[in-house]
Order: sequence, then structure tokens, then C-alpha cells
Amino acid sequence: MSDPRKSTKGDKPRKRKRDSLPDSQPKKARIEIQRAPKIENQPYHIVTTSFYLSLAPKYAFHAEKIFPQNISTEDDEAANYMKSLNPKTGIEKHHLDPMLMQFYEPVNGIIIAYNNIRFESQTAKITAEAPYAYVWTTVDLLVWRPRKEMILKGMVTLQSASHIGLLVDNTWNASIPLAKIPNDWKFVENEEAEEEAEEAGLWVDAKGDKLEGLLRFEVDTLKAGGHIFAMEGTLLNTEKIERATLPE
Amino acid sequence: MISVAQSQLDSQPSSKMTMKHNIENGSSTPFHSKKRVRFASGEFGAKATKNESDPEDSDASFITSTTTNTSSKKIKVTRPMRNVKDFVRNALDERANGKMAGYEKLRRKFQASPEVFDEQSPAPSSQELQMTIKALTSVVSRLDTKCESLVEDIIATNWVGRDNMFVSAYVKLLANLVSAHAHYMGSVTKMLVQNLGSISKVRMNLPGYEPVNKNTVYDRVHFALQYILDLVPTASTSTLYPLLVQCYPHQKDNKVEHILYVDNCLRIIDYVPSIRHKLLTVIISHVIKIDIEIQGDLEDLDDSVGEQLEAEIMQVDVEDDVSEDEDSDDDEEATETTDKPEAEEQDAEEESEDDDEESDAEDDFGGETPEKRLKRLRESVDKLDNLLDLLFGYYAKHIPETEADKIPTREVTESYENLQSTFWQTIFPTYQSRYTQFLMFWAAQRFPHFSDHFSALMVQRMIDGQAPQHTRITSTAYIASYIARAKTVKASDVKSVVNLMCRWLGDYMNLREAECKFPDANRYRWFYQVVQAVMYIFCYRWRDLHFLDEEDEESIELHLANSRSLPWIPDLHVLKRVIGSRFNPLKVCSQAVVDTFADTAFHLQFMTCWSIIEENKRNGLGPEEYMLDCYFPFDPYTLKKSRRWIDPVYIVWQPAKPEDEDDSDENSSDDEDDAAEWPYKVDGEAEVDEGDSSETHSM
Repeated sequence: MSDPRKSTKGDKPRKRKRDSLPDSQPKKARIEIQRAPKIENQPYHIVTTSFYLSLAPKYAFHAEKIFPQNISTEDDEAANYMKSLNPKTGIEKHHLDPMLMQFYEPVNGIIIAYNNIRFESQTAKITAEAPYAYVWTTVDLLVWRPRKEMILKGMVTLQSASHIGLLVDNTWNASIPLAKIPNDWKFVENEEAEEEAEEAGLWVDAKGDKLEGLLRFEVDTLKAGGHIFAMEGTLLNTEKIERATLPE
Repeated sequence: MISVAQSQLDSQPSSKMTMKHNIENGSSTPFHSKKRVRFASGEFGAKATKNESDPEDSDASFITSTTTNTSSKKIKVTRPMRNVKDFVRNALDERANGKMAGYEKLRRKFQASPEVFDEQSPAPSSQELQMTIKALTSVVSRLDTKCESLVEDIIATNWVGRDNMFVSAYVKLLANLVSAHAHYMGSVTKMLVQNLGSISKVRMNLPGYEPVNKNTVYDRVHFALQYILDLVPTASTSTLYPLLVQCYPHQKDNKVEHILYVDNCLRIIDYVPSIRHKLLTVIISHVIKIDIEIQGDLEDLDDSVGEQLEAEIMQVDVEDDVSEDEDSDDDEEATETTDKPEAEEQDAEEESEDDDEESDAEDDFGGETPEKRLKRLRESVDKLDNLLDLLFGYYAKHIPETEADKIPTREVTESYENLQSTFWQTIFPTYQSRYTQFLMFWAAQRFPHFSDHFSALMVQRMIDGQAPQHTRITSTAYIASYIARAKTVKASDVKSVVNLMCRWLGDYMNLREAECKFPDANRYRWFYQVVQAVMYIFCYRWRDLHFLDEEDEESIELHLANSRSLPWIPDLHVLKRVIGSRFNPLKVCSQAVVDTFADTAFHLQFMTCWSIIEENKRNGLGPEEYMLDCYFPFDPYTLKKSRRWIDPVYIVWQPAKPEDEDDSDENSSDDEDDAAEWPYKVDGEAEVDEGDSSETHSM
């Protein structure tokens, strides 16, 4: 099936075109509620967003309402299949699923999950010669959106003389470049570094503790777009990092 | 070597070093004193070096070792290492200030190809490059977008063919690179994925290095891939998967390319489970393309050659040379024509049509000689065979065979469900693929539970009035073929499926017999398909459709000898009514099925339908396009290598009546085309019948 949105003339392209954004992303969106995190340093947000989405004919009906006589009340597979062909599944399959784990600019973060799909109107509109019906859809999105100056903690995955590699929540990678590591931290090179040693060495912090396990850091720069998501942290602001309270 | 060490000694007091000294120790690369780049050491970045051992000490040991034992490769490299580090730092610092000389020199190290030995600008030695790599690893955070050209050179360098030490240093650099700069993930992954196909020999046999074999290369690539995915887990779905799809070999690429790539993909999904299902679907959809291409090519060939080839290719050794094969083709044609004298007009017409087709086909292929086409076809078949074998092997690992009546574990069920969903998505809607569907055939038989589920789903789709006609008809072919051919399907299950179908036929008759004026293949196609399915199953599984003890051959014989009907399952008798009705299915169903059914049913004294068949023939069978296809997805699996997976669970055709009594009846079909699909010709017994196949028509 061809991309339904391409055929609609009424849909103006977004003002700023970004190549990195996949085609599958909805062109129109408005953010309804930005639930500001009550907790400091919480990178996960629930954002209620409305999209103007197309609805493929296959999904544009409720089988139970239109052909109740053909849908057996028993719990058989065919009936379940027919029941599954409803606008909600259509929206999920065609629009929301492809957006998962992607950076989406209007919400300024990566969409991890969605929930609670509801339509703004009872009916979808077919404008002019468009082959598809369109409808405003509101959905709650769970968004991963770290901000600059936020304190996060991550598992140290790689240490080298010039950076520390981290993994936040076992998923998001971050790196702390040499310039953002305090001067009183030292990198101890592994004795057998020339041979088959696993790690090149270890960082030792100002107190002389070896660096391992979880490490707190301050988010410094963020680069995101489409598939690529890169986060850089800093450790320079030691006091702030130590004082910060992190959500569990 | 000595000169290197000595010049190093000379230069030491001034603490000014030449690049060549540091990097070329321990190597046999010619020493060019002209190309010296002078720089001061110890000026830059005290941090990384601050914990190094005392330079004086290591210097001394370095010199002694080189001067005393020149051939030894075990040299303390601390001092040169440090100098390389300084050089790298220097180059990057200069780069930041706009001076490119050092940076370009650094780039050239990675650009120089180790594959060709060049007197003028020799490629840097392994150790030299290793040290550079280590030095780069320690300054990796500086390799940002400004240094992209250098990173590209690093990524493009040949690393898979070098020594282990080099590889471990290189992989570490890659890991550091993606950990520090996630945006390099794409190009690093792409390079790794591109190393998953065939690899040129030149790249694995570098001058000055131990030759490595393919498996080592792949081990290295997988090691690197696993390493970097551990550091950037989100990349598996966002970067790796699209690249694997993008780099998939083209359908026309040779067999080796495909096998290596698929094999490596199957390795990847073991450690990247998140893309397992998606990637398997991609692989299967590529395999099915090859499958269809082969079927299409076989159809394009002249019928007789095509049939012969199909039987030949699959069974005879594929490495056979072409000329021999051609001979046998000619033979086949010769026998065909000599068998033709009594052939009816229809046959003659067909012949001429075939000739036309052949010439058309030849035009299509633009001068490609038949030999070439045959060769290409053989290659494709071989490719398909090997790919399916790989897939069977993979699924065998994930859906292991266990004792009967055991409930499959969750992982096993998940693997099966994923395969099944791939089947519905890709294989089922594909018209007339020939072999790929056997993955499902085989997997469904791993557990009785799966088999039940598969049959139930198929039956449900078959009788689902809401489903599109195509789905219904394909499901009918699948269920008929599955029940007829699957060895592990129990007699009770055969009975219940046939019961279900017969009951459905009965209901349909009650509902619509009144409106039927003549056998209308288009209008009642659904119905005819089911009739054909029941007849097909009957031919194969009649032993399971009566209530006598299966093993008790004697009592069957006794029944037959006394002209007593066997105690058939009661619902089966509806078939008599169906065949005698105005629907007249024998006129529409594939003649190969009809004739075999008539013969079997007659022999088993289930019913006699010769008179109806005769009458249908007298009245003319009607245009061919109204006849049903004789398509059964699980026709004999003849791929040479991978048939080992199918043979143990597959029922081969066994005529109801012993061969020697009368072996010509079954094959006495007017429609040669259909007869070919019918198992006789392809199975082992086929050859026996062939000679007199069209001579006698038992009426």
C-alpha cells in the first residue's frame, strides 16, 4: 500500500524539513498536555499528544457494529480477527508502532510507548479527493527526554584514557569525554595493556575510589534525529552531581 | 634494524625523534631517512602519559633488546608507543589549528593498502599501525565530526585479514569510537555488515601476515559486532537491522554469497534477539523469491524439458556436467514423441503450443542458449537447496525434537509462532511456491500440539465464508496436502479433518444443490476445491479412513476379496452423493486427481465412478481454464541436500493396489501437464510407469 499521506494535497509539509526523520511520522501534531515531571532529574515523561492521522479503509469500521450478524459471539479466531479490524488497531499499526523507539521532534524525545488512544470526533473526514479518511487522534506517549543539566546515572561500560562510556537504564548510551572529567581524576592504565587485556585501564576519582558500576553524571549535550541518538555527559560539576536526588 | 636502533640512540640526547624510528621498530619495512617528520615529544597532553613507567628505564631495555636480538619480534614497545601517542596527539592538535600535514600523514597510514606491496610508499607494519590504533584509542573523544575523514579511513582499512593482536586493538578502537561518538555507529556497523558476505582471497592473504580463513574473519566480525552492540544497544533495531536488509545479496548473486550471508545473519540473531523475528522474515521472503524464480523458469522451458529437468535436477547430482544432461533431455523428448502416435488431437495442439512457447521464451532470454539457462537454473536450485538447509538447521536448533506428548517450552512455542506468522505473511499468500512452505510442514510436525494448531487454522480458513476466495482456495490446497503428506498426523486427526470437510460438503449440498443447473467451476469453485481435497486425502490416507485395524492387512484383503465394503467413517459417504449430483465435480476437478481417485475408490470398493468420467469425456471436458489447478503445496520434496529434513516426516505415494497388477491406469491422464504434478512421475516408482503411461486407457 502506498503511503496515504503522500496523496493528500491539503497536507502542508512541515516547515522545517529534516532528512533524518522517517516518512512514517505524522505530519501534523499538537501537544496537548506536557506533564512537567514533578520529580527532578526524571527523563521519562508522559506527553499527551494529538495527531492528524489517516485511516486505511481496512480499519475504518467496527465489525461488531456493521455486521453483527456475521460475527459469532463465540471466542473463535475469525471473529477475533474481524473485531481486531477497528480504527484503533489501524492507528496503532500504521502510525504509532513505526514511531516507537524513534526520535520525534514535536515531543522532543524518543517515544518508548503509547497508551490510551482516543479520537476527537466520532467520524473521520475525507477531504476533497483524498482516498483516506483523516481524524484527530489523541494519545498518551511515554517519552524519553533527557534535558541538559539533568543528572542521570548510568552503568559504566567502557573506560579509556579519553572517555568514559555509560549505559543509562541498560538502553541509552552516553559518553563523558576527557575534557568533562575532573582534573583530579586519574586514569590508571592496565599493566598488561599491551597484551590481550580486556580493558585499557580504570579511572580513579578524586577520593581514590575505582570507577565501576553506576556513575552519576550531568547531561551536557544531546544530539538526536531519526535513528541516531547521542548523549554526552560531564562530571565537572561534582557538587551538584552529589547533591542531586535521583528518581528511583 | 641496528641502524634504526642506533639512529634512535643518536637522536636521544636532543629528545627530538624522527617518526620513522618509533613506528618502524621490529619491522622489516625499509627505512627512509628522507621522509622525516620532526616533532618534539612530551609536549602534549600530560594526562594520559602521566602514569607511564619511567621513560629512561624502558628506553634502555628497548635498545638492548633490539641490538642484541634483531630478529626477535618481542620488543618492549613502551617508548615507541609513547612516541606514537605523541605523534597522534600532535597531528590532532595541528589539525585543530589548521595544519593538516600530520593529520594527513595519519590518514595515509590507514589508507595505505596492505594488500599490495609498494616499494615507494610501503604500508605501515602491523605493529606500527597497532600502536597508532592504541594511541587513537586513548584520545578517542577527540575524534569528533571534524576528524570524520580520518575515522572513515580507519573504518575502511583492512583489519579482518591481519593478526590477532591487531584485530583486538582495532576492535577496541571501534568500541571506543562508538561509545564516545554514537553517530559513528552507522558507518561502523555498515562496514561490519559488508564483511558478512564472501570475502576476496586477496584480503585474507596479506603479504607479511599469516593467511586467515573465512571462519576466522567471520568470528572477528561477530566479535566486533557483539562488542559494539553491548555498548550501544539501541543500534540493533535502529541501525543494524536496516543495514542487514540493505546489504542482503541480490537474488541473482551466486550461491556462496547467499549462503554465507544467511549463515551469518542466523548467527547474529542468536546474540541480537530483538531483531530475530524481523530478520527471519526477511530471509524467508528472499528465499521464496528464489523459489518462485525457479518455478517460473521451469514453466518457461518446454514442458517435457521442464518436467525432466525438475525430476533430474532435484535427484541427480547437481554437479553433473551440462552436456550429459542435455543428452538425457533429448532422450526424453525422443521417447515422448515415439509415445505419441495414439495421442489425440488435443495433444498435438498442445505440442505446437509448447513449441511456440519455447521459441517465445528463447526470445525473452535474449539469445541465452538453452545450456546456459539450464546451468543457471541448476545453480538457482542448488542455492535454494542450501539456503533451505541452513534454515532447517536453524529451526531444528530452536524447535528441538523431544519425546512425544511433551509440552513445548515457551521459547520453542515462540519460535514456532514466529515462523507461523512469517508463513502467513510471506509464504501463504505467494502463489505456487514449491519448497519454502516445507519449513512450515516440518515445523508443524515437531509437536503434535503444533500440528493440531496448524490443521485447525487451515480448516478454519478453508470454511471461512468471510475470507477472500484466494485464502479459502489456498487453505484448501494446504490442508489437503498437509493431511495427505504429513507422517506424524495421527489417524484420528485424519478422520476428524475429513469428517469436518465431508460435513461441510453435505451442508453445502443441502443449501445449494437446488440452484445448480450445470457444473459451474467459477460459481462453485470453493465447493469443488473441497471435493478435490477430500478425494486427494482419500487417495493417500484411505488406510486411516475406515474402522478396521490399520495393521490388519488380512482383514482388509478379506473384505475386498468378499466384495464387502470396508467400514468407512460414516461422513465419507457424502462423497458418493456429491459425485453423483448435478455439481458433477469429476468434470471440474483436476483430471489427475479424478483418475487416481476413481482407480483407488474402485479398488477399495468404495464407489465406482468410471461411468461418470466416461460420460464427462464424451461431453467434452470444457475449456481448460475452468478446470481446477492440481496444486498441492507439499508435493514431493526433491532438493538433494535439504530433503534429509523432510524425508522422515513425509508420506510417499503408495498406490492402493499393488504395482504389478496394473500399473498403467493411474497415469492414463489426458492432461500430461497435471500428470506431471501428480506424484507418480517424480517419485521413485515413476520411471516404471512412464513407458506405457499413455498407451492404455482403462475405461
